[in-house]
Amino acid sequence: MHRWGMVIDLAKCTGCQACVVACQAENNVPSSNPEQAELGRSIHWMEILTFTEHEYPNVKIRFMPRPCMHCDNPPCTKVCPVKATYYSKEEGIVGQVDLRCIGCRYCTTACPYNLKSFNWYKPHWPAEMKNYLNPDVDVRPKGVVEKCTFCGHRLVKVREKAKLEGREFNPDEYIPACVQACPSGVLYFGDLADPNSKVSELSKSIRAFRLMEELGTKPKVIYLSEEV
Amino acid sequence: MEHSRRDFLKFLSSGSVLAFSGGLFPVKFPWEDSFDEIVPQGIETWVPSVCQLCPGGCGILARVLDGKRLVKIEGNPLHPISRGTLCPKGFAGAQVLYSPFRIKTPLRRVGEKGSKKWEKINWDEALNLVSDKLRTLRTEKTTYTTAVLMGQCRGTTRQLFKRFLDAYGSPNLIDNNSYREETPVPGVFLMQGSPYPLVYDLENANYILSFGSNWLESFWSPVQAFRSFGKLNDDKRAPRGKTVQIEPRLSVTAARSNHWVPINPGTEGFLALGIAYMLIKENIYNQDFVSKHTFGFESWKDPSGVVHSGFKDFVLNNFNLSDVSQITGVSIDTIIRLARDFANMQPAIALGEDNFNLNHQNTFTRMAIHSLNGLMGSFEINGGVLLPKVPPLSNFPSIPADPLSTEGRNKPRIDSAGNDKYPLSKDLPDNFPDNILSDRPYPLNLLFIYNADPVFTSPVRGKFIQALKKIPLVVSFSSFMDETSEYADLILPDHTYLERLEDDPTYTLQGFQVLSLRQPVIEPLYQTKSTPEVLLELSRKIDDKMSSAFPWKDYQEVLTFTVKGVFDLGKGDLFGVPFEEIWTRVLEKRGWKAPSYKNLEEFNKGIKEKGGWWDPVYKSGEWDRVFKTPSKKFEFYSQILKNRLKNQHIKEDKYFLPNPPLPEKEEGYPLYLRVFVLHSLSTERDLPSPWLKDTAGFYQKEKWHPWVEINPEKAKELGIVDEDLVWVESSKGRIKLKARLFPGTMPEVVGIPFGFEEEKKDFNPIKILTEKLDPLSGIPNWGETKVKLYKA
Repeated sequence: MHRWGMVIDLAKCTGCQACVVACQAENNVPSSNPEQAELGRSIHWMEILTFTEHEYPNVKIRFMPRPCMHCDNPPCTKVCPVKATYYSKEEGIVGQVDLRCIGCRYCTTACPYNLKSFNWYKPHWPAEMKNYLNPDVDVRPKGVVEKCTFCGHRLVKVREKAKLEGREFNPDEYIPACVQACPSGVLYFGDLADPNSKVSELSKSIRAFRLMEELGTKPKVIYLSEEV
Repeated sequence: MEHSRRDFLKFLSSGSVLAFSGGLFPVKFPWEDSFDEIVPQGIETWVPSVCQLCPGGCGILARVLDGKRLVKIEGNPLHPISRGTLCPKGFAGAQVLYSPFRIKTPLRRVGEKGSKKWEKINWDEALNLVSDKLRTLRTEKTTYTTAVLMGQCRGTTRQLFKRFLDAYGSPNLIDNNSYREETPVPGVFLMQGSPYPLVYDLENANYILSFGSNWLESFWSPVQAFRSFGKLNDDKRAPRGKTVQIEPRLSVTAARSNHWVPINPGTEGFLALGIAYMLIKENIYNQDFVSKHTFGFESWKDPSGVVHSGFKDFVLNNFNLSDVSQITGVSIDTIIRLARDFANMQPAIALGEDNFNLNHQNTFTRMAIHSLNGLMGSFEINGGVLLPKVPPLSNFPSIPADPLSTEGRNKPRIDSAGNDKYPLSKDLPDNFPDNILSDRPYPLNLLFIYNADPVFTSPVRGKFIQALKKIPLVVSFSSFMDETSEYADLILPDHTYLERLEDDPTYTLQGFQVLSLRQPVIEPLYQTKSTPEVLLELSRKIDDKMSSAFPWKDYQEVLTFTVKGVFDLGKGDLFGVPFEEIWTRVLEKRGWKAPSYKNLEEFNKGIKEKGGWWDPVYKSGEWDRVFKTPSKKFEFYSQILKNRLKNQHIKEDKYFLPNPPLPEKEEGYPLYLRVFVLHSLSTERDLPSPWLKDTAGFYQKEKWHPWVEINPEKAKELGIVDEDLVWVESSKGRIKLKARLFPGTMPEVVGIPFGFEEEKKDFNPIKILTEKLDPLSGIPNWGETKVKLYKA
């Protein structure tokens, strides 16, 4: 039994977008184009939200990386009529099976974090670019919903590797692409079920907060505020 | 394992699909037509190499399937610069390699220049065209009418270019890169005299006072800047490091700094001197350092009895706080606070813009900023200003004697670099087109363009286009059809960085030397050729004299030769985990060495496997090396400048002190234009990556298209509302953009991102940037552009 979670230290984030692009490269997220971007239909599993506060000259912009919250009590799984999005009790990950999705978009509406993306257009890769598609992750067709999976395919892979080598699986081996990518060390990842893990320790920080906790979603992505 | 769509549909309709659909759902999917994307598996290998999308020099690991498909690029965990991470550009490398816009074979122009009509030719034909021309120029004894315009390029490839021109007989290697590997920023050069660029140890500083340096967005080594920012703000560090950004607009760097200090454009130098005034007045500068290691602080009498005014008197007499506050628009309180923080939170760094082509600061402003580092003695310490060494590649043997090439080499340069008009210039790419158009000092016959795109980046782009049209043979080595290559006669496409073999010597922000190896991660996709190989082939085709200067069989052999210099150094080690790094450092500091290789063979093999070599030790306190001025000290009063200007008989001392000019007003153009560089640009070249375009203006929620930022109050005054189309007009021209109201812009400033370019649309602000060059260095100064704004 694991409860995989992420801690995001907002004090360190530079808004550089490395996590965003690394995620797209890892997960075969279709590239957007100017027309679709204009309609707000670009897909980002990981996105950096920005908040502009106050007026000149005291203006402040805040950056906030936003993956899927992988709630322990996810609103999206409850509305899915076909169990395309589900909560894994073993891993604590909210998964999404694209093959099952019927594109009803109940879950995109139910998710209070607005992080589920619908494939409004057929994903397009020029012939050459098909070469860089990752075989570990499937390519979603038009008409289904997709979202961050904490790079679940990487978990499967490291578990299989451990099994093949006949040893125990070490939780440190599993790391999503965005966490691996972050140059300023904003993102931490690990098992919240293990009280000694780095993420468990950080989640008890005085700076720790969760997004929209009051809804009772129990998100497993924990933010550390910029200031104490 | 090959799947076809048909197989997959069969699979779907068979019983096996029930395994994951649970038997609950119909097996016929309404969208099954689009389910044709099955990605084949393959045998996985990870190849270490080096990114080249900016000058940062990050080590990468490329995930390659079956030795022929690049699937993903990740950071090399052993590499001291990237340490397992990358910036967004690095990850987008796969889209660069597999871009549909790549040039796939050599091309020859068929229509008019710039008409974009090309025909494919084969490599033999293409190389013969160039070598015939080179041979003709040799027989006509006009070898010097050949030039190379060079962008980002270092190590052996750069040396090879130099040697090619030297042996051939031309002085014209013109650097056109915003981060010039072998040239320090002129303002810094005047005070330190070192011929190499500096680094700032950002992660160990306690206070970073940045004067407009957008170091979290367009730094020369972004990954190191990001990591430093992370370390400055780490919980483990108490108190956290503090960063202040002084800039006319709220850039990403300003947004992430502890304080943003808006300042009137072009007055950064005044603020720096106002801070210097406070440091001197309150006696909180580093008196020990100033007395031991600086020159020209106090006033002094020279041997002939003339009294010269020093920096101290100059600042105290001219830069009192109320004047400075009025000029800069920064309140007196703020100046006092900045000065006290700067003095108290040591080590502190004053950071100015370090770019050449993408620059807002003139030489004296840059001097004024650097004088703060001199006042606090932030040199040669952890968290201060360091002067790194570059890994010592072996020098090539001297070129066989040849009167023809000696004569050509000694001709004046085609760009007039180092002349009396621009006495501090080493390269003058932006003066180059003027000279071509007026045949000064001689007409040019042949131009090679490597990694440079001046039609995209230079404010004098219009003249560049004319110059390119005038030169009889223009050869571009670009892998992409960029704006400059459109005006070439011949394109000999290079591999992308992921298909090329090359060394990449650089250094970390802590001053450690790093030599990485860029090796092909897959076989070249198209009929492209590595440019150094092309140079070797050309040398063999020209004549016997040329070929005797290049005795190597291929580029691999050249590389083995040059990299041996690093092996011979007998220091440092191959890349390793942090523990090994500490161990190497401990041993080396005590005079031991225990590298993980025993001989040259193991060294070469290790470099290929681990990605490179480095020396994790910086020897500080070599003052003679750091301060190469006539006084061997940090010079507030620049004797170098005095020597360079001795023909002009300037007597006044203030001309050799940091004495920034007041920004000029321009009748009819009331607003200042601030052009900024986004993270998605490769310092100065556009990258054909949809991922990067889709994140470009993320904080404005603007993607793909550029915009112009206006202060909301100012917009109201001009009758402009959010998302209106507006014209931005300077005395040079006008461009049409979408207006975005942004409270992070000063009322008299408008901001435009650099470098968006689309067919038939005038977006690039380079088109309206002033063509004025800095009078001492000949570097374009974007900051001097004034504009007006009106509704379209």
